Amino acid sequence: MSLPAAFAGAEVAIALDALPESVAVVRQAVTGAGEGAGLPVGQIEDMALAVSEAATNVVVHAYRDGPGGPLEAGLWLDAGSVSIVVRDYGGGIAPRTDSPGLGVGLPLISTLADRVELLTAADGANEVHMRFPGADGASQAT
Amino acid sequence: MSAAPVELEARPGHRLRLEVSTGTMAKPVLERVVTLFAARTGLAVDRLSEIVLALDALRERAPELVAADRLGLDLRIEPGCVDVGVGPLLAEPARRLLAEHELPAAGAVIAGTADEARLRDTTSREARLDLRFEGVAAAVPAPEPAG
Repeated sequence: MSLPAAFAGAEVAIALDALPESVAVVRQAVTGAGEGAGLPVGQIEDMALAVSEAATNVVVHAYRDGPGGPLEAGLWLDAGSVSIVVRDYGGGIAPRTDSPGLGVGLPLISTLADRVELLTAADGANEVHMRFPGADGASQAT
Repeated sequence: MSAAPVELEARPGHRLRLEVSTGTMAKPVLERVVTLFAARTGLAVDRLSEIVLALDALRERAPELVAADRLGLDLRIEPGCVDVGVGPLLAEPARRLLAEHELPAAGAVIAGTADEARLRDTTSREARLDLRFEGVAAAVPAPEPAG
């Protein structure tokens, strides 16, 4: 298991197999990072819930047609914001009529985060970028 | 009769790579991630606490052990066993660490908690520290038959 080059410079970076039990591990990594950064409890909970939703999307949807693959998450601290990226190498986000979920994952992430972007990285990975306020309570919009 | 050592392929879900900056995030991230991941082995809570204790001792020394302010861990688990690869580390500080024999030095804490601790892939500049923590996996009681 290795970390992608995209996570160079991240305060926290984690890679593990995309399995249901991996979601809680990623959630704990983000919670611990928030505690270490001195963020308010309410914001840590928002970040943890958002990253849990993004990680769950990877587990449920990303590798449904294949043998599985990695779930990767990275966290960066800037002057006024926290950025989290969740990555996978699966089929990307597409409408799914047989989805076992309620379809509220991305809307929930959008509600919790100040900014959300869905990107395809240069290495082909699908990325969910989320931005949250920093320790001063305000994220820096770009 | 002897057999060549076999490198067992880790089963899905039994390996993890974590890198964390050596600042204030390292302690809570390591405690939370390692405890939750290692708990899958079924080891007793006391043994899990010893693993966290050993890695916390390493974390405290991380500023002198790593070159880029990032502590990297590779965790691999099997029932009753946790393997932790730490690195890359600076070779000479890592050698000094393992030579520490008196508590509360980190090397002594590691020696007192890990079943194995050895350096590998050592060059003049870098090394990796392999730690193995073993224990008795907790027995899971069989469910009571219905009716």
